[in-house]
Amino acid sequence: MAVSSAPGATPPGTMTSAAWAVAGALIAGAVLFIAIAAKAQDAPMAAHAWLFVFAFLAGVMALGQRHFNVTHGGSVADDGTGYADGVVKAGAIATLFWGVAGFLVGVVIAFQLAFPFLNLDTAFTNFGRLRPLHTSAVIFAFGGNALIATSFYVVQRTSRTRLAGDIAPWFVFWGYQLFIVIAATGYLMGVTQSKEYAEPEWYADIWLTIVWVVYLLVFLATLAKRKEPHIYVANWFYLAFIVTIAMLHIGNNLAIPETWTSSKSYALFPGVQDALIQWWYGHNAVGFFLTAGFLGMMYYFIPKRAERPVYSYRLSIVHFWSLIFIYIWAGPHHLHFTALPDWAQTLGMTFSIMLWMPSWGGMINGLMTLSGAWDKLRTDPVIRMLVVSVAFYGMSTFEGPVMSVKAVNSLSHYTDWTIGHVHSGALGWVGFISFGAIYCLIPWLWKRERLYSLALVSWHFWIATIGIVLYITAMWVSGILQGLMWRAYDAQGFLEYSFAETVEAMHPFYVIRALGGVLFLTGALIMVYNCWMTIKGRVRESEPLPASAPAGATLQPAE
Amino acid sequence: MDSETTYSLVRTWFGTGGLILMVVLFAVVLAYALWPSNKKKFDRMAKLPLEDKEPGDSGKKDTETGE
Repeated sequence: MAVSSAPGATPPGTMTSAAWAVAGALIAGAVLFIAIAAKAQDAPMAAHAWLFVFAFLAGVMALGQRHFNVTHGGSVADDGTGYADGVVKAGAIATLFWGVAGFLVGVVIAFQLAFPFLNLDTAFTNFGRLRPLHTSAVIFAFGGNALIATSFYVVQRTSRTRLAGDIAPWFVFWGYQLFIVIAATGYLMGVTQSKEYAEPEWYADIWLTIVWVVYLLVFLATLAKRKEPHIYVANWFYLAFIVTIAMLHIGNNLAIPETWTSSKSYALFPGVQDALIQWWYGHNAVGFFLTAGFLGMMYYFIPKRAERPVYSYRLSIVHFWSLIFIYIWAGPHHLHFTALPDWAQTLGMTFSIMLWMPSWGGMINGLMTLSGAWDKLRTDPVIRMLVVSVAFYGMSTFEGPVMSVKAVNSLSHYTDWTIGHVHSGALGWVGFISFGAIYCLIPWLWKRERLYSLALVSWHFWIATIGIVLYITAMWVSGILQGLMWRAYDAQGFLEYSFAETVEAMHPFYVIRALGGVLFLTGALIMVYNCWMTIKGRVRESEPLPASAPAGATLQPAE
Repeated sequence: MDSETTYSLVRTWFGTGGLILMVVLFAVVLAYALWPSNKKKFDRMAKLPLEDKEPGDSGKKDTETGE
């Protein structure tokens, strides 16, 4: 305890010159936002400025408290020599919290679509404001926290070195939560720049840029001091995710604020250029946030949990580079039959179809890593969750290219089929791989021999799987029904159905979809309970330890 | 040169150049992945997640740190 690895440095946790610099920057930021709050042109801007002030000052307090805990209490939780797991623990808990929040809002808006009176006739609870709240909560808050937490965990283990930076990883964690809160409260107050998956306004975007650059630096600096000569493939995927998201986020959010005290801004690009930039961003958010990052997760947690080496390391290299070079061109398939030049649409479609190869390369590599350990599918529900997530990945990356073909897209575009496709990827792939990783991480991080209950993992798995199946089948039927009704003509060449008639026809499927969402949310609540009991150190009485602990899969660091 | 000609020239050259670049890059990646002398390193990396080591640890196990 209290022996720093850095020679001649102050004890870990006390105010170093770097800590003073961070505190100074936070105070300067707080002063700036007090000025913005005073001059704010609209109420949301004032509210957000105060939120920034409060958060920055809380940051200063936390630094001071950390210092006095060491100097007066004399004890540090983390002596600065082992792996930095505190921030990973925080990330795991944040993932659970935002997951439940995001799924809950999803269920609410699913019921709003089925029963419109649930909009409650107020602007704050209107579907148009809650929908980005749901998408941002599940993608960026749930998925993002899962990615940040697992990337910090994996990069340390596979580089055999402690996370770089003392305050920086915590800045990334809390800075990211602040971004989420700013974005979410902004949506409820009607603050949006109306770009799908990039709704937060200019000041939130600038804040996220700062946080994200620090994230990149922490990751790069950790890799730079690695003890392994080669960078493990999972880190390649995480790095591609971090770098590309930085590029996409900056590119798509180039905007000019009305004034520096207004929450409103105007996009730099006009018309079709703006649309293309938006879908270059939008599809690569899928490709690099929801795919590359989670493939990084797959390449650590599946081999680790199955206790089998990666099926083919060569394949992982080939499909990594193919994936990132091809994905970046697929965006225009969101703009079929629009003002976008025809060749650009065809290019987007062609690259989408080419994506089959690297996508399935990754799926095959993930699934085949289980060769020699297939029996674990039966005995370990966590492995089952991880493997089914890869199966969903294969399914939705098969469906996506099909939908990008112009002939199919002319039926599927703007219909619920798209929503179904997104959710087979989001609930099945992103959701399940994150659940699997969290189920691995909770006992490893809190040094528990095993989860509180594997039976509850099984319950979570089956309830959530049934929920996904209800969701995606309802959306397939509803989407194709909707698409066919839109293009139906009568003998005179008039449209057969009015828009309201299609809405009426979709009602039963909306109800089924909402019930699927309820099941998925129920599964997540079971998971929270299971993780909570595990952290408390409890083991379910009906599942005593020696009989049901999967051998070796739960102990950290030694077997 | 009017703008339409410039546009189609640029488009053609970027298309062709992009195609060549991507084929070359793919060939390089494939060569790197399949190069025989890399096999040993890749076989070791495939097993990397299975190891439980502490920071900077070379090969020993069972070291308690941190808490």
